[in-house]
Amino acid sequence: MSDIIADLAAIRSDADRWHDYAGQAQAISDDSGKLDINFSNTIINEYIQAYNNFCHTFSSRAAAGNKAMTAMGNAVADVARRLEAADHPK
Amino acid sequence: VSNALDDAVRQLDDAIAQLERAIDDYTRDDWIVIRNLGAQANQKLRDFAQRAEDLANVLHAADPINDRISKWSDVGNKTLALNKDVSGAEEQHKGIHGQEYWEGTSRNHYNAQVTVQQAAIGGLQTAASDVSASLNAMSTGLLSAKHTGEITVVSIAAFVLSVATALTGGTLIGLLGAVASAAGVIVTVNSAVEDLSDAQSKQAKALSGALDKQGDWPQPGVQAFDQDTGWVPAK
Repeated sequence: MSDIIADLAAIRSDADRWHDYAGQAQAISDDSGKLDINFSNTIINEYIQAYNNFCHTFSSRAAAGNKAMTAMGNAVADVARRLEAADHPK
Repeated sequence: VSNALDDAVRQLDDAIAQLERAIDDYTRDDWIVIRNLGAQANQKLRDFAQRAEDLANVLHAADPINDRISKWSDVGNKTLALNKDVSGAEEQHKGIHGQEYWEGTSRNHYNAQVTVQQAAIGGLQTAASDVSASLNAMSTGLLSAKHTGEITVVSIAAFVLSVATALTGGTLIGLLGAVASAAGVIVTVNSAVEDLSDAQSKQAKALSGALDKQGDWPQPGVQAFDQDTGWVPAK
């Protein structure tokens, strides 16, 4: 027989975890967004530009990860509230 | 930022100036020969010094690149920690486990989104690792070019000084030959840097392309599981 209290706690724990991961992703985005190289020389300009583009893309993706995992956390917390409010999970 | 090649180029400039003074001060009978050979040598040396200076300038990129290697290592460690957390690989309580306690259609939608997000985090870690490898390869190539350039320029600077203090037609002819050889070395080193740059540029673009192929970080369709039906406690 299932333990509803424990089952809901598992979902709430997921919500906390998603918010934690979202924070980590934002920190990664912030750090990587500062790593472009301001250096100009015709011999290696192509590399520097490609590298800077990579930094920008990487940082943007990590920021999107923050948004995605925040949404996961919010939604799963909402699920826990709904199931609890319904008195018993359906 | 100064480096040993900058110092070597300055030594070379000083040596060239000393040679020019020695040629101007030369008063023996064969002064016309010395002046003619000296003019050729000075032109070659100035060209060589310019190539060496160009190389020294591009090698200044080594400093910011080495700095970014360290910082990307920190970012890589954070992506690794996040990947471990989300998978619960090392610490069970840190992972996502709600789906293990439930069944039903909403739970299944949730589980699918968990998998998608975990994959995106794995992709982030891979990309951080790849850019670190790219920067390391670039740094190694620049360091090699730096060493070769230093040895070549210091060698020519010493040769120029020795010719300035023992100025003859023979030593000037020897100097012309040495400068031609050294210029060839610098051209080769510069070409190696260009080749390296080109290769790394393609690699960096490939990394960006890999991210593009993966697509933007997938935003979850939470409405598929954010409801109070379709969640059934697992038996």
